[in-house]
Amino acid sequence: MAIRVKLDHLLLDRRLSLTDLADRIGITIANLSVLKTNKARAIRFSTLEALCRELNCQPGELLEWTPDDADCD
Amino acid sequence: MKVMGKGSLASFLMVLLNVGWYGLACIMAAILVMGVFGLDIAVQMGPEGAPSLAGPGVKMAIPVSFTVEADTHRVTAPSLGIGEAQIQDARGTLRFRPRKGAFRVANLAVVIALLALAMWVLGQLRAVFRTLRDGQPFVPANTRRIRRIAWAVIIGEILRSAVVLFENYYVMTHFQADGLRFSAHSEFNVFAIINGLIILVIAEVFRAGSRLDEEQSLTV
Repeated sequence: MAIRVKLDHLLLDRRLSLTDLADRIGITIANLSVLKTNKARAIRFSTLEALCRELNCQPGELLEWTPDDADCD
Repeated sequence: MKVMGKGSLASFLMVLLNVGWYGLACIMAAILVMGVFGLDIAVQMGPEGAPSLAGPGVKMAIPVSFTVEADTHRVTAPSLGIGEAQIQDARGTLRFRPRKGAFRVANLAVVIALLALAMWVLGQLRAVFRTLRDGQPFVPANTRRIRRIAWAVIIGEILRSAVVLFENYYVMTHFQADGLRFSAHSEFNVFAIINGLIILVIAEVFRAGSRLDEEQSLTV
Protein backbone atom coordinates (compact mmCIF):
# COMPACT_ATOMS: atom_id res chain seq x y z
CA MET A 1 0.00 0.00 0.00
CA ALA A 2 1.49 3.39 -1.02
CA ILE A 3 -0.04 5.21 1.96
CA ARG A 4 1.86 4.46 5.15
CA VAL A 5 0.72 5.18 8.68
CA LYS A 6 3.54 6.60 10.79
CA LEU A 7 2.14 5.30 14.06
CA ASP A 8 5.44 3.92 15.37
CA HIS A 9 7.17 7.31 15.39
CA LEU A 10 4.26 9.13 16.95
CA LEU A 11 3.77 6.49 19.66
CA LEU A 12 7.47 6.77 20.51
CA ASP A 13 7.35 10.58 20.62
CA ARG A 14 4.23 10.67 22.76
CA ARG A 15 5.50 7.76 24.90
CA LEU A 16 2.32 5.83 24.41
CA SER A 17 1.86 2.07 24.00
CA LEU A 18 -0.35 0.51 21.37
CA THR A 19 -2.63 -0.83 24.10
CA ASP A 20 -3.06 2.62 25.68
CA LEU A 21 -3.85 4.22 22.36
CA ALA A 22 -6.31 1.48 21.44
CA ASP A 23 -8.13 1.99 24.78
CA ARG A 24 -8.25 5.74 24.30
CA ILE A 25 -9.62 5.76 20.78
CA GLY A 26 -11.97 2.80 21.30
CA ILE A 27 -10.77 0.31 18.70
CA THR A 28 -9.28 -3.13 19.28
CA ILE A 29 -5.54 -3.72 19.48
CA ALA A 30 -5.90 -6.09 16.53
CA ASN A 31 -7.34 -3.32 14.34
CA LEU A 32 -4.75 -0.82 15.51
CA SER A 33 -2.06 -3.35 14.73
CA VAL A 34 -3.51 -3.74 11.21
CA LEU A 35 -3.14 0.04 10.83
CA LYS A 36 0.37 0.09 12.30
CA THR A 37 1.64 -2.68 10.02
CA ASN A 38 0.15 -0.94 6.95
CA LYS A 39 -2.19 -3.83 6.15
CA ALA A 40 -5.32 -1.67 6.32
CA ARG A 41 -7.23 -1.00 3.10
CA ALA A 42 -9.07 2.06 4.37
CA ILE A 43 -9.42 4.24 7.44
CA ARG A 44 -12.63 5.85 8.67
CA PHE A 45 -12.63 9.58 9.28
CA SER A 46 -13.87 8.89 12.81
CA THR A 47 -10.79 6.74 13.48
CA LEU A 48 -8.47 9.35 11.90
CA GLU A 49 -10.09 12.07 14.04
CA ALA A 50 -9.64 9.98 17.22
CA LEU A 51 -5.98 9.28 16.38
CA CYS A 52 -5.21 12.96 15.70
CA ARG A 53 -6.96 13.93 18.93
CA GLU A 54 -5.10 11.46 21.13
CA LEU A 55 -1.73 11.92 19.43
CA ASN A 56 -2.21 15.67 19.14
CA CYS A 57 -1.16 15.76 15.51
CA GLN A 58 -2.39 16.65 12.03
CA PRO A 59 -3.47 13.96 9.54
CA GLY A 60 -0.46 14.88 7.42
CA GLU A 61 1.86 13.94 10.26
CA LEU A 62 0.17 10.57 10.59
CA LEU A 63 -0.06 9.60 6.91
CA GLU A 64 2.68 9.44 4.31
CA TRP A 65 2.60 8.66 0.62
CA THR A 66 5.58 6.75 -0.74
CA PRO A 67 5.81 6.90 -4.55
CA ASP A 68 8.01 3.76 -4.79
CA ASP A 69 5.28 1.62 -3.21
CA ALA A 70 2.70 3.22 -5.54
CA ASP A 71 4.71 1.99 -8.54
CA CYS A 72 4.70 -1.56 -7.10
CA ASP A 73 0.89 -1.37 -6.63
CA MET B 1 -36.59 -16.91 11.76
CA LYS B 2 -32.83 -16.98 12.14
CA VAL B 3 -31.29 -17.94 8.84
CA MET B 4 -27.53 -17.93 9.57
CA GLY B 5 -25.43 -18.73 12.60
CA LYS B 6 -25.74 -21.41 15.25
CA GLY B 7 -29.22 -22.88 15.74
CA SER B 8 -30.47 -21.34 12.50
CA LEU B 9 -32.09 -22.61 9.30
CA ALA B 10 -28.56 -23.04 7.90
CA SER B 11 -27.70 -25.34 10.83
CA PHE B 12 -30.81 -27.43 10.20
CA LEU B 13 -30.06 -27.73 6.47
CA MET B 14 -26.46 -28.64 7.36
CA VAL B 15 -27.82 -31.63 9.31
CA LEU B 16 -29.89 -32.73 6.28
CA LEU B 17 -26.87 -32.37 4.00
CA ASN B 18 -24.78 -34.44 6.41
CA VAL B 19 -27.44 -37.16 6.47
CA GLY B 20 -27.55 -37.14 2.65
CA TRP B 21 -23.78 -37.28 2.29
CA TYR B 22 -23.32 -40.11 4.80
CA GLY B 23 -26.27 -41.95 3.25
CA LEU B 24 -24.62 -41.83 -0.16
CA ALA B 25 -21.31 -42.90 1.40
CA CYS B 26 -23.04 -45.96 2.90
CA ILE B 27 -24.55 -46.83 -0.48
CA MET B 28 -21.14 -46.56 -2.16
CA ALA B 29 -19.60 -48.73 0.58
CA ALA B 30 -22.38 -51.30 0.10
CA ILE B 31 -21.69 -51.37 -3.65
CA LEU B 32 -18.00 -52.00 -3.01
CA VAL B 33 -18.70 -54.74 -0.46
CA MET B 34 -21.22 -56.43 -2.75
CA GLY B 35 -18.75 -56.21 -5.60
CA VAL B 36 -15.94 -57.71 -3.51
CA PHE B 37 -18.14 -60.62 -2.43
CA GLY B 38 -19.35 -61.15 -6.03
CA LEU B 39 -23.00 -60.43 -5.25
CA ASP B 40 -25.22 -59.28 -8.10
CA ILE B 41 -26.44 -55.72 -7.99
CA ALA B 42 -29.35 -54.59 -10.13
CA VAL B 43 -29.27 -51.09 -11.54
CA GLN B 44 -32.55 -49.27 -11.79
CA MET B 45 -33.35 -46.09 -13.62
CA GLY B 46 -36.71 -44.40 -13.46
CA PRO B 47 -38.52 -42.88 -16.48
CA GLU B 48 -36.62 -39.60 -16.04
CA GLY B 49 -33.27 -41.30 -15.54
CA ALA B 50 -33.14 -41.15 -11.74
CA PRO B 51 -30.70 -43.93 -10.79
CA SER B 52 -31.02 -46.36 -7.90
CA LEU B 53 -29.58 -49.67 -6.88
CA ALA B 54 -31.30 -52.82 -5.70
CA GLY B 55 -29.96 -55.95 -4.07
CA PRO B 56 -29.57 -59.42 -5.54
CA GLY B 57 -32.58 -61.14 -7.13
CA VAL B 58 -34.20 -57.88 -8.20
CA LYS B 59 -34.95 -57.13 -11.79
CA MET B 60 -33.06 -54.40 -13.58
CA ALA B 61 -35.12 -51.36 -14.61
CA ILE B 62 -34.34 -48.84 -17.33
CA PRO B 63 -36.36 -45.93 -18.75
CA VAL B 64 -38.36 -46.46 -21.94
CA SER B 65 -40.33 -44.33 -24.32
CA PHE B 66 -42.96 -45.80 -26.61
CA THR B 67 -46.03 -45.26 -28.78
CA VAL B 68 -49.00 -47.63 -28.62
CA GLU B 69 -49.91 -48.73 -32.15
CA ALA B 70 -53.48 -47.90 -33.02
CA ASP B 71 -53.85 -51.04 -35.17
CA THR B 72 -53.49 -53.41 -32.24
CA HIS B 73 -54.73 -51.20 -29.38
CA ARG B 74 -57.70 -49.10 -30.44
CA VAL B 75 -58.43 -46.14 -28.22
CA THR B 76 -61.86 -44.56 -28.63
CA ALA B 77 -64.22 -42.27 -26.75
CA PRO B 78 -67.74 -43.12 -27.99
CA SER B 79 -69.45 -40.70 -25.59
CA LEU B 80 -67.41 -37.87 -27.10
CA GLY B 81 -67.82 -39.10 -30.66
CA ILE B 82 -64.10 -39.82 -30.98
CA GLY B 83 -63.56 -43.00 -32.93
CA GLU B 84 -59.82 -42.96 -33.15
CA ALA B 85 -57.18 -41.85 -30.68
CA GLN B 86 -53.61 -42.97 -30.08
CA ILE B 87 -51.29 -43.08 -27.06
CA GLN B 88 -47.99 -41.53 -28.06
CA ASP B 89 -44.74 -40.61 -26.34
CA ALA B 90 -45.58 -42.68 -23.27
CA ARG B 91 -42.83 -42.99 -20.68
CA GLY B 92 -42.26 -45.95 -18.43
CA THR B 93 -39.81 -48.32 -16.81
CA LEU B 94 -38.82 -51.63 -18.38
CA ARG B 95 -37.92 -54.32 -15.85
CA PHE B 96 -36.03 -57.48 -16.72
CA ARG B 97 -33.64 -59.93 -15.16
CA PRO B 98 -30.19 -58.69 -16.20
CA ARG B 99 -27.64 -60.90 -17.84
CA LYS B 100 -24.03 -60.49 -16.84
CA GLY B 101 -22.30 -58.51 -19.55
CA ALA B 102 -21.06 -55.19 -20.80
CA PHE B 103 -24.48 -53.50 -20.66
CA ARG B 104 -24.98 -54.28 -16.97
CA VAL B 105 -21.40 -53.30 -16.11
CA ALA B 106 -21.74 -50.05 -18.07
CA ASN B 107 -25.00 -49.19 -16.27
CA LEU B 108 -23.39 -49.94 -12.91
CA ALA B 109 -20.42 -47.72 -13.82
CA VAL B 110 -22.78 -44.89 -14.80
CA VAL B 111 -24.71 -45.17 -11.54
CA ILE B 112 -21.49 -45.20 -9.50
CA ALA B 113 -20.25 -42.14 -11.43
CA LEU B 114 -23.53 -40.29 -10.81
CA LEU B 115 -23.45 -41.24 -7.11
CA ALA B 116 -19.84 -40.04 -6.83
CA LEU B 117 -20.80 -36.76 -8.52
CA ALA B 118 -23.73 -36.35 -6.14
CA MET B 119 -21.44 -36.99 -3.14
CA TRP B 120 -18.96 -34.43 -4.40
CA VAL B 121 -21.67 -31.80 -4.93
CA LEU B 122 -23.08 -32.51 -1.46
CA GLY B 123 -19.56 -32.14 -0.06
CA GLN B 124 -19.25 -28.70 -1.64
CA LEU B 125 -22.69 -27.72 -0.31
CA ARG B 126 -21.77 -28.94 3.17
CA ALA B 127 -18.67 -26.75 3.14
CA VAL B 128 -20.74 -23.73 2.05
CA PHE B 129 -23.36 -24.33 4.73
CA ARG B 130 -20.63 -24.76 7.33
CA THR B 131 -19.59 -21.15 6.67
CA LEU B 132 -23.24 -20.05 6.81
CA ARG B 133 -23.67 -21.80 10.16
CA ASP B 134 -20.54 -19.97 11.37
CA GLY B 135 -22.00 -16.67 10.18
CA GLN B 136 -19.23 -16.03 7.61
CA PRO B 137 -20.76 -16.54 4.18
CA PHE B 138 -18.53 -14.26 2.14
CA VAL B 139 -15.29 -16.21 2.05
CA PRO B 140 -13.44 -16.59 -1.29
CA ALA B 141 -13.65 -20.40 -1.07
CA ASN B 142 -17.46 -20.23 -1.29
CA THR B 143 -17.21 -18.58 -4.72
CA ARG B 144 -15.22 -21.54 -6.01
CA ARG B 145 -17.54 -24.07 -4.36
CA ILE B 146 -20.72 -22.51 -5.74
CA ARG B 147 -19.18 -22.24 -9.19
CA ARG B 148 -18.31 -25.96 -9.05
CA ILE B 149 -21.87 -26.81 -7.98
CA ALA B 150 -23.20 -24.82 -10.95
CA TRP B 151 -21.04 -26.72 -13.44
CA ALA B 152 -21.94 -30.02 -11.75
CA VAL B 153 -25.65 -29.24 -12.20
CA ILE B 154 -25.15 -28.39 -15.88
CA ILE B 155 -22.87 -31.35 -16.65
CA GLY B 156 -25.00 -33.68 -14.53
CA GLU B 157 -28.13 -32.81 -16.52
CA ILE B 158 -26.31 -33.36 -19.83
CA LEU B 159 -25.03 -36.74 -18.60
CA ARG B 160 -28.42 -37.78 -17.22
CA SER B 161 -30.23 -36.98 -20.46
CA ALA B 162 -27.50 -38.76 -22.46
CA VAL B 163 -27.96 -41.86 -20.26
CA VAL B 164 -31.73 -41.80 -20.74
CA LEU B 165 -31.28 -41.41 -24.52
CA PHE B 166 -28.86 -44.34 -24.58
CA GLU B 167 -31.16 -46.53 -22.49
CA ASN B 168 -34.13 -45.66 -24.75
CA TYR B 169 -32.05 -46.46 -27.82
CA TYR B 170 -30.89 -49.74 -26.27
CA VAL B 171 -34.50 -50.78 -25.67
CA MET B 172 -35.49 -49.66 -29.18
CA THR B 173 -32.81 -51.82 -30.80
CA HIS B 174 -33.02 -54.94 -28.59
CA PHE B 175 -36.57 -55.26 -27.29
CA GLN B 176 -39.84 -55.80 -29.07
CA ALA B 177 -43.41 -55.86 -27.86
CA ASP B 178 -46.66 -56.53 -29.67
CA GLY B 179 -48.53 -53.31 -30.29
CA LEU B 180 -45.78 -51.08 -28.93
CA ARG B 181 -43.28 -49.06 -30.91
CA PHE B 182 -40.27 -48.10 -28.81
CA SER B 183 -38.62 -44.74 -29.45
CA ALA B 184 -35.64 -42.83 -28.13
CA HIS B 185 -35.94 -39.53 -26.25
CA SER B 186 -33.35 -37.72 -24.20
CA GLU B 187 -35.65 -36.15 -21.55
CA PHE B 188 -33.36 -33.12 -21.66
CA ASN B 189 -34.46 -30.63 -19.02
CA VAL B 190 -33.50 -27.13 -20.16
CA PHE B 191 -34.65 -25.72 -16.82
CA ALA B 192 -31.90 -27.69 -15.07
CA ILE B 193 -29.37 -25.94 -17.34
CA ILE B 194 -30.96 -22.58 -16.56
CA ASN B 195 -30.73 -23.42 -12.84
CA GLY B 196 -27.03 -24.12 -13.31
CA LEU B 197 -26.55 -20.76 -15.01
CA ILE B 198 -28.44 -19.01 -12.20
CA ILE B 199 -26.12 -20.69 -9.68
CA LEU B 200 -23.13 -19.37 -11.70
CA VAL B 201 -24.51 -15.85 -11.31
CA ILE B 202 -24.97 -16.42 -7.56
CA ALA B 203 -21.30 -17.50 -7.42
CA GLU B 204 -20.32 -14.11 -8.87
CA VAL B 205 -22.49 -12.39 -6.26
CA PHE B 206 -20.56 -14.27 -3.57
CA ARG B 207 -17.30 -13.19 -5.22
CA ALA B 208 -18.33 -9.55 -5.04
CA GLY B 209 -19.50 -10.08 -1.47
CA SER B 210 -16.23 -11.66 -0.36
CA ARG B 211 -14.28 -8.79 -1.93
CA LEU B 212 -16.42 -6.23 -0.08
CA ASP B 213 -16.17 -8.24 3.14
CA GLU B 214 -12.37 -8.38 2.89
CA GLU B 215 -12.18 -4.64 2.29
CA GLN B 216 -14.56 -3.94 5.15
CA SER B 217 -12.59 -6.17 7.52
CA LEU B 218 -9.42 -4.24 6.65
CA THR B 219 -11.10 -0.87 7.19
CA VAL B 220 -10.11 0.55 10.56
